Amino acid sequence: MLTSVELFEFATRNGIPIWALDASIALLLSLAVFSLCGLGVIVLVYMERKVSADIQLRLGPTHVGPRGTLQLIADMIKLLSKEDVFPKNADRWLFRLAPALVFISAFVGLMAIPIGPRLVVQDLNVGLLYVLAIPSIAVAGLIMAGFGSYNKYAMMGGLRAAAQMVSYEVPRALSVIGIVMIVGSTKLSSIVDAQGLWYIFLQPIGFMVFFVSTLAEINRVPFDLPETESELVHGYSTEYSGMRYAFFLFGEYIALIAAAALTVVLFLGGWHGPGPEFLAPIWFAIKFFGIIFVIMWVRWTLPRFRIDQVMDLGWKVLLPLALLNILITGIVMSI
Amino acid sequence: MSDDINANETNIDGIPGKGMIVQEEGLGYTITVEREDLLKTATGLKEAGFDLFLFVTGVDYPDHIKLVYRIYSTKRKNRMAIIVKTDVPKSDPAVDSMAPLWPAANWHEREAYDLFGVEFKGHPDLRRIFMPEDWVGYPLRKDYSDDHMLVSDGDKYARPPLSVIDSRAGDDAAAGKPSARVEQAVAAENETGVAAASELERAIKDIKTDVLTINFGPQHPSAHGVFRGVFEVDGEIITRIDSHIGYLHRCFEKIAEHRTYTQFIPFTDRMDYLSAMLNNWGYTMSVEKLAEIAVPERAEYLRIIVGELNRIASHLVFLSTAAIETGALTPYFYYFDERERILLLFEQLCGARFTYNYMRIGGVRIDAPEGWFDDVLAFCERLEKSMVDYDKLLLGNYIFKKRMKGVAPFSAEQALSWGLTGPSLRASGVNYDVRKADPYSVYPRIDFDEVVLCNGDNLDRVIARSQEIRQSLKIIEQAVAQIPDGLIVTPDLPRYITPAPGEAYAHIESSRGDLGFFIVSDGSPKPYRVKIQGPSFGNLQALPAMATGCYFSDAVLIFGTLDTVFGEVDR
Repeated sequence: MLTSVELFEFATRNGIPIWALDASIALLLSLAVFSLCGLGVIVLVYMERKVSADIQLRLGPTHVGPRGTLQLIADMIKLLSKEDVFPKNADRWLFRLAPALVFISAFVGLMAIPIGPRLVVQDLNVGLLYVLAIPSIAVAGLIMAGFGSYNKYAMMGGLRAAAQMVSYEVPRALSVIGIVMIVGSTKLSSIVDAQGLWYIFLQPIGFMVFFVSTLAEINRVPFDLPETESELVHGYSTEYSGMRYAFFLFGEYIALIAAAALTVVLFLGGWHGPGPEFLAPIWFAIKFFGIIFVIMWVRWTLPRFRIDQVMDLGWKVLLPLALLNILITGIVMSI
Repeated sequence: MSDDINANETNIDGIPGKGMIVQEEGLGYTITVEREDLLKTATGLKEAGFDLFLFVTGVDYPDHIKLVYRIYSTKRKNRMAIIVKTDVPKSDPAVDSMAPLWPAANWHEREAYDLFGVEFKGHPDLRRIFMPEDWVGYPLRKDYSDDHMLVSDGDKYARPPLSVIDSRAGDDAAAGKPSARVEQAVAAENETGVAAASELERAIKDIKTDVLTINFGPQHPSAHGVFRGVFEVDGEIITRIDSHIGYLHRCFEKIAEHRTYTQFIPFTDRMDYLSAMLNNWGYTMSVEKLAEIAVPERAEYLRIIVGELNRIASHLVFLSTAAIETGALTPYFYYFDERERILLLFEQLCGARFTYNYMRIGGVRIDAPEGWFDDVLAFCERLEKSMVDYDKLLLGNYIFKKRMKGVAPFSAEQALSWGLTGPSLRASGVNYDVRKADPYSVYPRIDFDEVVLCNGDNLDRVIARSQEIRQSLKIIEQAVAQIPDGLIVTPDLPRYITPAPGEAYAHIESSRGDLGFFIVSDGSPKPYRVKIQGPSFGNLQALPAMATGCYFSDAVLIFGTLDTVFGEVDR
């Protein structure tokens, strides 16, 4: 791999302006992450279908491609060919922007997550803050979708999403402070490097709080209140169809990828594992899919909470637990 | 009516007009009153402990409409039902409403108003219930003709302007708005000088919040069929519910008047389609009572077996939808897998999976194929084991319990006054199961328990079903062990059954409650009048009483635990 110094020298020798160099590198890397994401979504959707089918005494997709692996491609083609239904009274801009905002906010969070030694787009010094903060923008997207659809169910779904995500932001951020205290850095690669013993063992309370609030953050069961099909039909995305709907779906899965990857980085020792260094991404992938499987398992087993119970859990249980975790970490460290 | 009630004739003391009570063939205790005395009699009955209003209906005769009420007493030591009859002239079809005494009478009287045009004085909300607001004519009257069906003939059948219909709902709604409530409180404060509005309420007044009206259905994933509820929500809390039904109204009671007794059996399948066997059974039983046809014993046992299997199938659907409404999608597949086995058993038995048309007047259609009873027993054994697992998966789940426990608790008094029957009533602690209270068929020979719980909340309504499945399994096992050989249908029945003129009422415990058929014969091969007392109809009207003040999410669960099937509500 070229170092940045070599690249800089290459650019100055050939008269390429620095901004063009930066831009092209950024573009290439985004494309790489984007295609990785696309692949990830295909794998995850297939996995979700097969896991849920297995839990529910079904077979799942079997027809398109070998063992139904190409089902998502077929679904995408179907969604692309759908009519783009635009509700009569919907807000033009909010309605159109919302799926893009949800998708982008989930996507850019991935840029700072390292999946192997030096395998990261931008290893920010404030990486942890960045990956916790960026997905919150999705809230705006959901409210825009709910408000812009001119539909009461969508509106209620959007407002529920806002209330829930804002509430769970707080315990989620506080739950990782213990780690920052131990490592002394918010750089994600340093956090991975500091994990001789995984933080899931050093910070069990922190992990529990983080995992539960992550489920709420990405709107998965038992916290899928924004789209509760039993009362709100489909929540904020009720009025969406075709590709716009697909973007919500994409955004949801990419948020899932980002959340699971962050869990691995923070609590499961990132890419660490026995064997030579080139196995690092493999180890990362194994842990990553393990977490994903647990999240899917939860989704296909549990019922969902009611909105007031969700709020109670966030503010009255998880927040005190997160604070307790900080306290315990501080006491243990000062001894 | 069983003999022991006859023996204790003194126990009907305290009922007004005691001397007028007669034991009518096919109906049981009956009291006939003048319409002026109706309210007095009803008040007396209410005081004498008659607390469960089951139905009111009309029978159209050339010069008058006969109203028939059936009221049951769970309080009296000697439990009994009484039928009250009164005649109203067609020129002035008006009578006092029972709704102030028994809230359950509300919808039943609306139904009689809708289909017979009987006006109930003092009824709180006398609107049409099945037919559209602008419908002309009263379909169950004998002089009703079909050319009324298209409402387009200019002034003759003028529609009321839509604003009239809307404003009725609107006036009540305005009173329920939070801002209106606060304004009232502030106004009261200015008058009296006493602080009536809290700080929070003042703050809300400035924000000018308003209730959100949500149209729940008729097409909604959780409306079990075609139910439209106009929900008014204040934030997430329901402040008012207005139920609209009738989207599936096919007027089976009118159809019955144009079919022979036997021809109507397939129609009963299509009412409560989740327990079609039980509908068949209730109808054939009342015709048998009317025509005094005996049923061979083997047929009675076959009826019990298929009836209880169908009850299990229906309760499995209930449990799976309860799971889905709380967001757990997986239990659904397990419950449906078991239900599928029941449907396969039915398919082996009668060739149909859903609408069976299995029972015949005087017996059943076909005998069980060879080895069928072994399959039934194997299924019972299997389900008994797997129910333990399923209970762990759903009823034992922490979140499920948290969602269900303590939501919409209905006391025994509330449940009775709103006319709940079936498992929903028993979950509130009232032991009214027709199989025990008014035993029919060969149930007295079978040992089983009534499932009676105490809290009457959502969780109890779910547990009641789960427990009933086990009782049904017990019944099936005993019935299979006891079934004798012999005929499956009474031989030499005429092709057209022509009962002697008269009236009969028979009821069974369907999977949703007390399912009754009131049939009037005029001696012809076609019934003069068939009244179907569908338990879902009675249960559904309790929804506003149960769900007002609950969370919107809970309203869906409450609606689910009432276990309504719209084929039966609308009929």
